[in-house]
Amino acid sequence: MTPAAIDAWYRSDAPPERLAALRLLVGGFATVYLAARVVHLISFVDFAPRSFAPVGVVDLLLGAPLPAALVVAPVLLALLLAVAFTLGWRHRVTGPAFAATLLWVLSYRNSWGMIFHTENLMVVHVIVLGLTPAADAWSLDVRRRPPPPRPRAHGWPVRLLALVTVATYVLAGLAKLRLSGLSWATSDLLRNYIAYDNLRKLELGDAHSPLGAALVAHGWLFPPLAGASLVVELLAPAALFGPRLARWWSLAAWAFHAGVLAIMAIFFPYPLLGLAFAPLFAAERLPLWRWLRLSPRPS
Amino acid sequence: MAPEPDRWRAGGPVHAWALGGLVLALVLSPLCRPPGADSFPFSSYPMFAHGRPTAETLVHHLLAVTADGARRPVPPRLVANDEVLQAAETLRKAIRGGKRPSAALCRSVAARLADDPAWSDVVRLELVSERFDAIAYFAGDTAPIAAPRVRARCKVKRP
Repeated sequence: MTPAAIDAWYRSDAPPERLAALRLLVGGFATVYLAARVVHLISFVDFAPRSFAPVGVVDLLLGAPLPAALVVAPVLLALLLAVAFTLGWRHRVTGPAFAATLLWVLSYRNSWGMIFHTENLMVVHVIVLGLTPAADAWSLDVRRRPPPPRPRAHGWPVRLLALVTVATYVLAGLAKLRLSGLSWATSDLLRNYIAYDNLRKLELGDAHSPLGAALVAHGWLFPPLAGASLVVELLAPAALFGPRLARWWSLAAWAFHAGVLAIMAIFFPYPLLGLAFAPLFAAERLPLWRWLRLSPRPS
Repeated sequence: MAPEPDRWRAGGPVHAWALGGLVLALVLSPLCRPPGADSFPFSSYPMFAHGRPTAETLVHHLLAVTADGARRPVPPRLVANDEVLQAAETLRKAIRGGKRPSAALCRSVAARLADDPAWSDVVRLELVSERFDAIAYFAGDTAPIAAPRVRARCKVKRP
């Protein structure tokens, strides 16, 4: 493939509504997520300073936990900016501001000895959407002042979002090969992990998966399950080769997350609600937009 | 292909390749770190990658003990917050810190519990480490495979 062909693929044209649809989907999800998690996100004000283990941008900027007011204020600011981002209000300012604030708030939440992996993809998607012309359609900015014509400006951010989704799944597959090798898919590693995870939840007084607890008695089930999940992760780049492969791969990846929910009681809302996979499709064609009267109803 | 009139405009080719290159480099950067190293949001996603070679499972938990000696686990929201893994990490860190942090955690949870009417029957807390065979556990053998180790013990003081 020549550089010109790569450029033509990466910067292929797409309607501004496609990128706007992704802004509305990802921003809407982030807004609801932040609102639902406010109590959790400010719970760290009560944590012992010895538990502080900064990661990412928090590690670059902080050596000790913040006072309570400086934990609460960014959470509330992130919530306000999430609404502005979703509605596309002054996107050139609120887009980058929301991306930065969300990155900070969620990095701080992950800086207490336990790194969760449910929000990584959402944060990177918000960073991409916040730094690209994602409010050139279906936004308050457009109502205020229509944007200048920007040829080939709205396809590449969608490609970049899709590349980020695909890359995260490949990384997860490679992590298994780097840490456990092929034995991850040929031995009892997964079975033991599911038994361990459910037992730990039960003994810690939390909800566990009765299905996972019942299935660990059947050792033969787990190597095929582990192998299938590894294949789905490593074959993620196939989703970039056309809508049909994107559909099959997204379905398989969604099924993988549904399986994790069913046998480990771990909920990954971003992929399970389809948001992780939305950049692989023509998101502006969702019936939701007609219902919201953003796109015209078919005559 | 004809050169585009304004390469530097928002959404133009310079923006596209600079931002795309930077974001993808950061997303893929965990490949340059040792296996298992983790960060946020640029992670290698090692959470399930280790697997577990055996079913032997060490659990640290805080047990609420009633006057008649019955025990039940204190849920994550009273130990740390609503995340079970955060609670597990809080317990692990206190135990690794030694007797003083373990006792301090026990007392702070006991104070939270004292205000909660749902726990009015509880007289003391025990921070305990127990080792189980996780496969045998779900086959019905829920007894620990070694004697439980009590790391801290504290009373629930009510006004």
